[in-house]
Amino acid sequence: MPDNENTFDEVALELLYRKLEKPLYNVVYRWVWDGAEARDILQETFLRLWKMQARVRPETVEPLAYKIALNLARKRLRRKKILSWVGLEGRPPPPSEQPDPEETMRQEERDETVRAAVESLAPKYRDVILLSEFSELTYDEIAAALDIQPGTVASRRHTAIKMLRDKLEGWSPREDA
Amino acid sequence: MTDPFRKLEPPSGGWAATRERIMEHERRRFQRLVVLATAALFALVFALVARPDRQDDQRARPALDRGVHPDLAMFDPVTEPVRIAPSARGHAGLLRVETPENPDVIFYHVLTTPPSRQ
Repeated sequence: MPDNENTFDEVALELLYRKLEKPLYNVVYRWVWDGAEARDILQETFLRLWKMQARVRPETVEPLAYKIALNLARKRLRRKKILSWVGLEGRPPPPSEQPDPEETMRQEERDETVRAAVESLAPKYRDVILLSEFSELTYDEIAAALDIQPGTVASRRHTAIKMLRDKLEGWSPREDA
Repeated sequence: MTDPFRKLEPPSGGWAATRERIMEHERRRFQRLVVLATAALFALVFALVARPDRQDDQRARPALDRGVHPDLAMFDPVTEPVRIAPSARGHAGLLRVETPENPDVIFYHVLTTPPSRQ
């Protein structure tokens, strides 16, 4: 009789996708700042999970998904920087979801401010703040995803919040992280 | 107030696209398996067809019957292991004498004539 608790089949993958799609997309987007690229990374992440399905354990699959997605995002970002440096790829425009042109412009200005603030964070702080803001992972799970100690998650998050507050007046993080 | 973590909606159809990508991966994996299995089959058939045939075995048989090592049985024997270097001091001849008891044993008689005095 098969052990259904440990099988990571297509149904389990789809359930995981439905659960992680939005938070993963938001985390990855804050690395690559490009909706199409973020979507592509999301798909690649789940393809990789599928490829390694025999080794996937349900209790650790969520931190693993974030770990894969962050690695892919960093890799893409490095490639984009190189392509940009040699002049083959420009900086993508920020997303615009508002139909009103004035509101769109204001939103784009805000997005640019946010992007500059987030990009000013060192990768180790950015990873922690993005995961603690968007994912529903615990500190232990974030630590597992980033290969660091849970205590380090807390201290890095604290530092990242302080840095962002300096750059974005009036902002405060969510409290339940 | 600017919220750096305004939640964005991912594009729709994400799971369908992901599933299609996974299916494409599975199709490619299956194709690779078919190619590998076909290549292995061809290699097996080639190994069976290209092995030394019976005719070679028959040609080696006399040597094998004489107790020659199998690795050497298909080698052509050395035509004549003994020869006389040309010399101006006289004429010499070589007479090959095979022994009926053992064909691998051959005697050579060297016949010489004294150089002529002119």
